[in-house]
Amino acid sequence: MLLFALRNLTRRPLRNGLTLSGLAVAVAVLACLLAFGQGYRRALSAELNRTGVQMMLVPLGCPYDAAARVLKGKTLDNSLPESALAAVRSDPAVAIAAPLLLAAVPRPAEGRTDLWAGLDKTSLQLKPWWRMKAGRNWFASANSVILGDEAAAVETRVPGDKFYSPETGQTLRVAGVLERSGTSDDSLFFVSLATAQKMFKQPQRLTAVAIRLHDPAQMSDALERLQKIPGAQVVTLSEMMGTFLNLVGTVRTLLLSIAIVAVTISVLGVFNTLLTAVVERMTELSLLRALGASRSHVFGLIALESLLLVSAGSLCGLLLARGIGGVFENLVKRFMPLAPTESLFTLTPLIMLQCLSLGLGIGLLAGIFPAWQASQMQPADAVKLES
Amino acid sequence: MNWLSLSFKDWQRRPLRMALTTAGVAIAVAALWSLLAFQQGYRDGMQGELDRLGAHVLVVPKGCPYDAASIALHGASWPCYLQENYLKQVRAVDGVATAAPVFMNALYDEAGAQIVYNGVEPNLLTLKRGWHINGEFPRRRGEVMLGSEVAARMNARVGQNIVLPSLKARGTVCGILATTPGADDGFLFVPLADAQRLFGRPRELTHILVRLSDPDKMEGVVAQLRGCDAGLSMNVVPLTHLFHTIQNLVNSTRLMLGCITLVALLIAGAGVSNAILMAISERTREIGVMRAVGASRGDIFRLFWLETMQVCLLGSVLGVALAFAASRGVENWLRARLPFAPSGALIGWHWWTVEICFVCALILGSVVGLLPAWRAASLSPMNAMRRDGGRL
Repeated sequence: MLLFALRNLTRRPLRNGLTLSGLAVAVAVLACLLAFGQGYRRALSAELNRTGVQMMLVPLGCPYDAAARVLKGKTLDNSLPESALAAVRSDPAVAIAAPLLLAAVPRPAEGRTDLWAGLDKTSLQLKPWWRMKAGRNWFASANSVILGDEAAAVETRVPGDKFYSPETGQTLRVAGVLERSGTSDDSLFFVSLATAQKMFKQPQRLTAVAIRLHDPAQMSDALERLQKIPGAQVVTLSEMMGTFLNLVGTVRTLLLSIAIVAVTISVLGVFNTLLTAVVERMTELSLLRALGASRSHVFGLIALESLLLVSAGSLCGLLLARGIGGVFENLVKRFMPLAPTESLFTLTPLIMLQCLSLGLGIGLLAGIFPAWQASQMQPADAVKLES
Repeated sequence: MNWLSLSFKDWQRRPLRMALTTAGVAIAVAALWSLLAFQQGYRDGMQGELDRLGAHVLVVPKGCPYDAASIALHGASWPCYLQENYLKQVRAVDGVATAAPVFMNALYDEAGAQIVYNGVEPNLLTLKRGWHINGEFPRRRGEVMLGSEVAARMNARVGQNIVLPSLKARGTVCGILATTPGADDGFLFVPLADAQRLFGRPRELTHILVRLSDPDKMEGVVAQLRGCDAGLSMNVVPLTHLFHTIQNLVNSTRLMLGCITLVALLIAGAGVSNAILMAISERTREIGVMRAVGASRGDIFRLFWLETMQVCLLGSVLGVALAFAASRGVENWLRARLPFAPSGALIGWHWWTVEICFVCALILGSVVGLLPAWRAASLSPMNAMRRDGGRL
């Protein structure tokens, strides 16, 4: 019976191919969206949890925007006075307060922008992945620089090499190269805070202060006290994550609803194809009945054809989703306010199962009416239609 | 019988199939129309809302300025406050024509409806030029001006002494605001000092609406506002900047939504192509006969191409009608999900949205019609007339 159904489908390669590709594209879009949403949520919380930072002190302006820029290693238009750091450190609830100064150095000749980060020693406690591939763990002198893995590869430098930065006129010595961490740190150039302030002519200024508390339960009290620091504001990372997930959730709902529209349209196509297949083969089907096939046999045959068609379509769709996942991710990442650096696209078995079962479900639905129509054929029709 | 009526014949033969195919096109076109109309409506709504605010710059407490602007526009309780003495500094800045302080607080009544109190000073009137007040603006202690919706709900008249909803205080209605297109209809306006007293926040404000004497000098004034002593404790938000940022955010989603809508259209197109191919394979013998009695290849091509166009055009007419009928529902659905939804209509269509839909459907129809029409035209009359109808 399976073979028979398969042969029936291959009799009309163009028609069934068109139906199948429509369904495949719709399923692929749906799978991409589902996979992406899950990946984003997971990657975002992983990125935020790994730092162990609960709050961030940023300059005035949209704090979400500011915190997102700092996490992605982009510079801010505004900066904080260094006195804010002392104020944060004097707060009893604060365990670690790590200052950070980010500066972007555009290098149009190479077609890229280098990002420099000024750190002080407290940052090490907030970066558990700070491990050296080679060289020393910390700046040996005021003109030491530590390179991220990618930055070192681009600049082809190893520890001990000289490093001249023409834009700032500084000659530095490479102290170490970081191990690849999968975060935005990979492409950064690290120098000590004082050096960075001098290099970029930002004396006494900071871009942000990352804060870890002794006890996360003291969050709300600490928040209230820190919010009073002039020229600065505090964002908690959980708040920030909530806002972003909300925003992304909205976009995702909109996209999913249009993907559902696409699936609906492709189901109409499946229905049409099957209906025509039945009408075309009336003679053949009634002949089958005359030869002794029962109504349920005929019903089953058409239903099986429909199931075969949609499962092939869904499988092709999933394969397509795997294939275009990378392209899709690049497209989406460009528009994300806070895109984690690791892969966002996770086509989990659960999602594949969801898409497949959706495909099979609608295939059955679309197949019922044509199959029922086919089963109504009388054996005697064979003779009538023939004449 | 001309070609046009001949191409309609298939509707009589296979009404179900044609209807389903057309429905597919209609759904895709409806999605496209809703998307276009939404983009337009959102943009217009946002612009209108910011215009009605009457201010060029918004001064708000620390925190996300987008949230703050949204609260200022739609009314809600503020998480933080500004000190009243900042107002003097704002007014002292060159280029500031009007700085209107507002103290806003939202309460909920027993029914869960939101009641927004605004403490205002008379200089607000210089910003709200579109307002028509039946009665007077609240200037004296104990006076209250109602938005038109509030007045209708409470059945209040000018001069009446009313209990202020959700508060243990009374006030005299001094004026009722004529209906405005924005959220002002749902607000109650009281003198600033009254609001500060009622909510136990003396000498505090929630935001300041600033109007400049020359909007072109925005940059300089904003820099001065940020540079003054109070500048470290408040956020200065130029509204044009805010508009652009939100618009950017919306534009980035538009591209993705547009891509998926295009995919839906393509799938619908494949369905149309398929349906016409089926029609051709059923009518192979008929095509053979037509060729035999003198129809040229071009005639056959035109016949089936016309049929495809019919399906697409009819689909787009139905789609636009469908989207039109469903626009209310879509609007409510979107409003519940969008973070910064303006209070006006979200679905704002123009004639060009309809035109784009039709043009898209026409292009789609002519492209997907090519393959079936070409296949039909290239059948040889001899083969087509054979008993098995020359397999397609």
